Amino acid sequence: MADVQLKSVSKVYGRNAVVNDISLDVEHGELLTLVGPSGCGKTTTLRIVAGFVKPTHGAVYIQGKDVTEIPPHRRDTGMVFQQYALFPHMTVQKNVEFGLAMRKVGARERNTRVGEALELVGLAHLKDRYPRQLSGGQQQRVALARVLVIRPKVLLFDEPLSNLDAKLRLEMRLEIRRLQQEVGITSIFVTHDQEEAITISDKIAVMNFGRIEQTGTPMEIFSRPATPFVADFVGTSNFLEGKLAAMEGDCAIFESAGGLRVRLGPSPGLAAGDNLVIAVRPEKIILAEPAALPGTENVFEGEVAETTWMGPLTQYLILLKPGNEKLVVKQQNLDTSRIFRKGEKVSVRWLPENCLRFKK
Amino acid sequence: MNAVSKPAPARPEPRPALPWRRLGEGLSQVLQNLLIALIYAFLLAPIIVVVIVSFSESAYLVFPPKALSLRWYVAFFSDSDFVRALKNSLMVGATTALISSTLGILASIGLVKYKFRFRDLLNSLFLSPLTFPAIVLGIAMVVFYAKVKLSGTFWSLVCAHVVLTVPYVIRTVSASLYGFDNVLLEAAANLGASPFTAFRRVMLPLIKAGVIAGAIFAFIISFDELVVTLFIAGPRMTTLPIKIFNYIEYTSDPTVAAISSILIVIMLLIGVFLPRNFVAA
Repeated sequence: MADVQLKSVSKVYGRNAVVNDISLDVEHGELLTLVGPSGCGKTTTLRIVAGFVKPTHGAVYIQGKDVTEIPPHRRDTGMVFQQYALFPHMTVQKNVEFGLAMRKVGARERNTRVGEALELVGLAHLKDRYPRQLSGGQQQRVALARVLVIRPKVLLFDEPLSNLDAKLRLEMRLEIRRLQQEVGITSIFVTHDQEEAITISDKIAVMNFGRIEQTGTPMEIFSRPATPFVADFVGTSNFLEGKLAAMEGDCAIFESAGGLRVRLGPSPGLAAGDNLVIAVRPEKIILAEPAALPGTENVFEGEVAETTWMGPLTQYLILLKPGNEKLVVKQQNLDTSRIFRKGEKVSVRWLPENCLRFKK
Repeated sequence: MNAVSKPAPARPEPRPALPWRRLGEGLSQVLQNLLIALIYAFLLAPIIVVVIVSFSESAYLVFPPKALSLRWYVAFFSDSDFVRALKNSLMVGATTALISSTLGILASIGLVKYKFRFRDLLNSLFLSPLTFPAIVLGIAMVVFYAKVKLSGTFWSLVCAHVVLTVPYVIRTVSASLYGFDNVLLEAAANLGASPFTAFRRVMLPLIKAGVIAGAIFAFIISFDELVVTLFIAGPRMTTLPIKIFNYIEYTSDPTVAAISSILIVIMLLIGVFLPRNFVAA
């Protein structure tokens, strides 16, 4: 039985469905990430689980119990907020103790558990400080300790890292993952950052316009996106629109609107004449001097329209012949790789199995 | 290296201060301080005079006093009417402060933290007693209280004073509430606090400054309210300002100076000590 279940949950404001018929299972001890662009309803979904937002339709179950009508303070969830939401008039100790005091835990046990929780996040030495005397990262650790100490049924994370600087964000996300696995509490994590989602989660639900586009492991989401939106949002993609021109055995030949003939990997269930969108990830494309690539399969000629040097990699915008279709290519900056300049002729190639296919 | 492509815009050199100009500035500084001193003297002189006169030996209000004594303080405290009036005023003031702060906090939370139709209208309505002439309110209340049979009692005074003082509480508490982040209430609820506990343990401590300031305002305004109180206080429910008002109609001995001095000390204590100790946090 899943630890947290949403059953056809919707939230409608006026005529606008912010959350639109979402169903979701989070298994015990699992970390599920809701990821999507801003305004996709991921935070509202999280707030529905916490009880701050009452769904218009549907039901929420926590450990098998219907909590839809239960107010937030009796749901036993632990939420880490984007703005930390520490109580500014209480010390770190008092902040972490708050949930235990609410649960009428005795003074002695309270003290030990607060000590343990602060130890866990490495802040035991700062217990007498006030939140304003801590850095952003430290405040977020206190917020984490404050929910871990009550051992809630579910941990909820509302973009907890987005107020931290880039380096700290990487560090904290590993830390959150480590702690979550250590305590084994079922968690729902909300972020707009697909990289964060991929690195931290057991399972990802990609949301768009109030709906879940796809749910799966990070690997599934990344390598087998169910919709063009997922393919573009999780990692970026180049899209080519066109038709299936012919089948050669179980492999398909796709012809783009601009006249490129692309060989696809095994494509069961497709037939010649189908309207298709194919997606190719920028990092799966090989770039070389004109006519320098061996073979003829999915080799195309083009011209560099833009070069952006990004440190470890270089990003190119290539205009492909004959139809001037745009292609973004990312190349690792190895010692051997050469940087192409704007206007240079190049050839590109990608493997048939790296073409993601979406029926239109 | 490329040559500097654009010359930096020339910054105007500060003009050297001329000696006469510096003199002028010094002089105007002196004049300014003098003016401030005069204004303070003008404001404080009557208060100082009252305090000095209260220690006078003479039976008339003369300044400066020829000899000093405490007899007018003794006279005040041995007059049971005065003491009763003082007690009434303190009781009415304290009750008013308590009720006003409670209502004011609730109203402020509604007005600041919730969005609803007519919010602005309601806000102005709550603050309207501030802009009404006290005499109008007094007449209105005397008529109303006669209708509801509440005239001349302790509670009629409290009710009237609450109406007069709630706007001040709303003002000060609202100001504190604007700086309060609602997410803290969510955090408290999430950790298991009921709405009331969240209010008591999280919101109240953080808006304390506004609440205390509002309560002090309410107490002080109630304590020396005269106009409205004149209309509704009955013979058995006399407050100190009314007692003083009646007293000086017929007598002009320094008893009133003694009372005034006591009030000044009370207000100073409230005004100076309370905010220092409680509001600063």
